[in-house]
Amino acid sequence: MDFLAHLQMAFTIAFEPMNLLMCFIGVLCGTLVGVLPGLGPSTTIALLLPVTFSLSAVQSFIMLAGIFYGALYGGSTTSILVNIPGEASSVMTAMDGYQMAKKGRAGPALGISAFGSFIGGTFAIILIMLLAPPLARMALKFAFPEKAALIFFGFTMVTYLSGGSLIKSLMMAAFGVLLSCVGTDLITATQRFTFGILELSDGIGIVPVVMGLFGIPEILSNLEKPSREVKVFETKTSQLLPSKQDWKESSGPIARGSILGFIVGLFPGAGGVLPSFFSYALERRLSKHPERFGKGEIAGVAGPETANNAGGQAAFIPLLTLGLPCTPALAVLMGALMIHGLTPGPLLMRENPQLFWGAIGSMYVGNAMLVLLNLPLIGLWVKILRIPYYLLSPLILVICLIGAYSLNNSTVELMIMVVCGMVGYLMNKYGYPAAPLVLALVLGPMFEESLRQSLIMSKGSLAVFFTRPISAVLVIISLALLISPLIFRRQKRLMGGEPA
Amino acid sequence: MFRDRDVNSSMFWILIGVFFCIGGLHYGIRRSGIPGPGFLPFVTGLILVALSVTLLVARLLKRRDRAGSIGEPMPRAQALRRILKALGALCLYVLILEPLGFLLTTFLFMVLALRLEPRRWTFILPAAIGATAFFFFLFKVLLRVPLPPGILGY
Repeated sequence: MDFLAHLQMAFTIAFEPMNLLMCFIGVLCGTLVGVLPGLGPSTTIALLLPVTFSLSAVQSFIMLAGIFYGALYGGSTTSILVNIPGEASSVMTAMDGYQMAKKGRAGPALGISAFGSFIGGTFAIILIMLLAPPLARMALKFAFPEKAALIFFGFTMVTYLSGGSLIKSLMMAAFGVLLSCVGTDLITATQRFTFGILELSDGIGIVPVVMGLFGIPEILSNLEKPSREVKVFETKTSQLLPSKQDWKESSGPIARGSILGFIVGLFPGAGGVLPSFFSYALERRLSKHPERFGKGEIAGVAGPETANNAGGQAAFIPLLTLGLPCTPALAVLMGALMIHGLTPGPLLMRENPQLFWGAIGSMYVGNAMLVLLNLPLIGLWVKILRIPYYLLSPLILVICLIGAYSLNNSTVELMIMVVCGMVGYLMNKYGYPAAPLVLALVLGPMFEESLRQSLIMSKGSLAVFFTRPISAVLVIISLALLISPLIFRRQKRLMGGEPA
Repeated sequence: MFRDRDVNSSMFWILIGVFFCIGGLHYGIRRSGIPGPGFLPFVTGLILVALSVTLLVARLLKRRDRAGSIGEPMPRAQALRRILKALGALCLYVLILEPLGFLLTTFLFMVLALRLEPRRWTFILPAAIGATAFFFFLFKVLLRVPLPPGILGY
């Protein structure tokens, strides 16, 4: 059977010693940044990207992907113990998890979130294995108009789901596309907006932009508050295993969270954040005692934690089969693959089965490692949180600075990062989301190529996007989404979640 | 300047959009009947201008339902000073990294960043030296990242 053959291949690659090591490093770094507020998965993947230049594509993908899903685990620990969500995807976990810790039930809260994460993640990986091949086969038939329409759909979804004002999200997507135009034009080799700066002829790199837009503003906004001691909730974490009663109350939320998280996570822009919000809302609605939510209900921990991992894993499907990154972190991951000369998309599975199945295999292994790692290391994470922020923030900044410099050994990247840091800080202040910008920057060159090639095919007529069924459907859905707020005059968006 | 922050920011984005439109025109929107290298910057620049104008008009008419969120408040006084100092330290790092080299620059940056809040020199100096040594070991020795040697020759 296909499935079993793939599974065997996946595990064979994942269990190669070097790949195991990379997976371990990845999930460990991921958990660490999940714990630390001020350093997110996208910044970390960007930071470690230069380190992976000497590795093979498979190894670096395994490691960088590990950071991505490891961060989903790490965030829950601090949410529960300290009420500080390390990541946006664990904001909902803090609601009930911290309350459970206050009642002396930190152990079961941590335990159930680790097991829930594992179950949700594993469930999603199995579905990836089942769904990715047919999806990639379908996507292989995509020509330029379909590709352009798909990316347009991706932009729309990301702007729609990234929270805040729709018009500002759209503006940021447009700005991202504009920034992606900087550099050498792919079709005519014209130098655009480079002003004679050699380093810009390759375009504006995703890595310094991501470090600037996500890393620096986070640190700056933490600097606004005078530094204070982080109060760590002293608690006995010795009894980590949830009781039978806990399992009984959590099995429903975990099952629903897996499915819900997977489905929501497939949408570009959702990542791990929206699934956890949706799951929390769903569990509260279904609960027999909704009044207990927010006061330490285990279902409020199990559901969102499962959903954010299922969603985070599901987000790999559009990346690996369609070449569509769903979150900024995955956009950087895509950039990493491209540096290794691979383009994520339908061809990846056929031309680089090693990478594709190796990555899948490593996700199984990584999820298992995370459960084993996370519970014994909780004490260590809590200690790391005690490092005062005034010491931690300069250290993170220096890592970002050196990371940006080491990309090309040039200060141009450094400048881009610092400028993006300032812009990103102001964007936070003025309510402009950064996620659409980053995704547009990554997808911009591909969007431009497919758009212009489509128009060359059609001799300049836009009708080409409407006469082909797949592109017509995608474009019409996108346009409908874009117009709907005008019709319904809704100010409140789907969810107020922050982009991961 | 106007007090409304959406008004200010949308005017900034209009300028950005216009800049890319002009650039697009310059690089050529059409070449022999098909879209040229300036096509996408021009069209996207126009879209950015159109969106920004919509935001601007909506804010000026106080139609908040279309304008959306306002964002976080700007820092004041002490906090603003810390932010500006931190940004200054970052800019300084960019400027002096290549001429002065990694060791000196990182040490200076650490000192500046640790001094954002008043602290004793007996804490700052050892911390800055320790951090610099740590990074030197991590990046230069362990990860073999080429770092600018500068005047110290390292």
